[in-house]
Amino acid sequence: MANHADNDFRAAAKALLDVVAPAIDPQNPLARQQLKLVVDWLDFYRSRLPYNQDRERLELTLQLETARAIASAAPDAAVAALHAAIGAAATVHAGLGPRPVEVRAVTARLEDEISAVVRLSPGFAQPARQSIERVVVRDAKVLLDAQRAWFLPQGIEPDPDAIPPLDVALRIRQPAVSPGRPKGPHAPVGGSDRSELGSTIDSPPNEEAGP
Amino acid sequence: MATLSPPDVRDAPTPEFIQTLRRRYPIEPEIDRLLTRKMERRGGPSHSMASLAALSASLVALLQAHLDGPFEVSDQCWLAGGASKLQMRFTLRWNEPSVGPTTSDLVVRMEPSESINASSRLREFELLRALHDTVLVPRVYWVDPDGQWFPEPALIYAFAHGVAKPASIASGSVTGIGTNFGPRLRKLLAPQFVDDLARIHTFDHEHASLDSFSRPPIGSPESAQLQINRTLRVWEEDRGEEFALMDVAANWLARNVPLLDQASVVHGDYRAGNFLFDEASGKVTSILDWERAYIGDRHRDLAWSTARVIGHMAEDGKTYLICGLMPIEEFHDRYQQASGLKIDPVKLHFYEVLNRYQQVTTVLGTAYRVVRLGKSHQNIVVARLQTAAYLLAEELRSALEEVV
Repeated sequence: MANHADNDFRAAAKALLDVVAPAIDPQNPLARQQLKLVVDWLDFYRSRLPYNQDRERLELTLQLETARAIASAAPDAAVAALHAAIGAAATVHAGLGPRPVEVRAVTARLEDEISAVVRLSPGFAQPARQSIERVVVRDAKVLLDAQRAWFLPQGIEPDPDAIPPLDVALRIRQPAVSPGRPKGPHAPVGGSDRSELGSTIDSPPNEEAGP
Repeated sequence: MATLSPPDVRDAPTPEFIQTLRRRYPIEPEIDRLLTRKMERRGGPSHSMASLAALSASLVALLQAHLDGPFEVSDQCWLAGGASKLQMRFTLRWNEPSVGPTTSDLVVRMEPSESINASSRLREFELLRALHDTVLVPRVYWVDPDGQWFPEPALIYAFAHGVAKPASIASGSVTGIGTNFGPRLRKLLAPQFVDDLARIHTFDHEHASLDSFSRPPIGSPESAQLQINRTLRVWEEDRGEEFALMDVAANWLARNVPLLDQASVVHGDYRAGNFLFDEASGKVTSILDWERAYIGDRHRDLAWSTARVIGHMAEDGKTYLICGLMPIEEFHDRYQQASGLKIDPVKLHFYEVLNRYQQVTTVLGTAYRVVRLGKSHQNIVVARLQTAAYLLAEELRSALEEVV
């Protein structure tokens, strides 16, 4: 269940170019110009998506190097707070894992090999086959909950309150002891109104929508 | 620029890849023809948006081949929305045989380069014609099954009047996605929804001209097996990633293929959003979108209509309404009364698993491939379908959790 954001950005740009652009009034140069800017902007972010975390990692690395150099050059009395900040940043820096592209590659390989074993499992002894299938079914829930939390603002869920908050689903934060969705800074960005999807997945009288 | 999704064989399938899947997953001949065509054309260019003028020229060419007298095409416009087919509405002034001078409000329904449902315009044409006196369906006029006149296979039928969702209810007003009809319309539409399904399932298809449909034998697992093969094959053709839950589902389906007790016409996508109604009277005016229809097990439709993505909770916050119309128990009771047909809970569960497998295939597998290769006029709509994938996958997971 990979992140398909690259695909999504392409689809958005293609919709603007193929469908929206021809419908814009040729006498409205401002609209035509801004449409092109939006398409270029989408394409730009699509091309940069794989490097987003590299960019943040580099910034942390460089700021850490600069901070250490300054801390060694300045009088001790002036850099107590800077030393504290360096300590906190160094801990995070040391814990940074591999690049996202590599994470995706090894994850995909695991998915391939897990699926290969599941496909072979009808040939295994029944207890082994059953154990394998139960593990897959059990463990899929966590990832599906995370994906559903990710897409919650798209308004597809019939019972949004049953979906864990995004930061809990992504294991950034432990779930609260009391049930229910948190309010405030930990709440997912955006609402969960099923009608929001109507702007794109909606049918005129003679057409279908949805899966 | 590096990409997270390097090309794979499914982007430009080799003849060997195509033939391997055809051998591994035997399916109905008409569906085999469509899926093979899809794969053979996949390596071609992305979808290029036809202009109204170009589509009109195709239309005129088809009409010239089918009509003797003069005719006039006017008022062409696109119909927006939908994730699957491209549609152009137009007015035809012509001399209709046995009627005389006529003005018809019609629609061209055409495949994009690659659809999220590789389906047959010929089958849709045959079925709409056959069911015309059984349930309210748009009248069909002409079909171009192989794209002889149009850039892609196309169907011409009457524009159906009505709405798919109430204009007066803003909340949850997405066609097909949690459509909220409100209490008044719900009461009026629910019985019609069930009665129409009963009429479809008890339709005498054996005496109908449905030449492109396979007729599976009674008492055999062949019907269910063909449907398993179809959806497994599409997953193999289209997916962009492995998903072990689908493999568990495939294993389970293979172990639990049911026998067919009665062959019915199966709509294939029977749900809110695929029928139109008159908002004032609450009367159904037309049942649409027959592209996934086949002759087989009625439990396929019964299990389809109950997907959570197309229903919602009632005002009490406790009762789940299938298709926003009625509780599932009421749906089943009404259906058995109206049709005289039994619902077998074991078969119903089998088709719940198969349906969710097929739906995840469509929104996670096919939608991914169509968008990746830019094959549809509705790429952005198709891309957004993935938002439903994980709810559907959770339904699949839950259905399997009970039985593995």
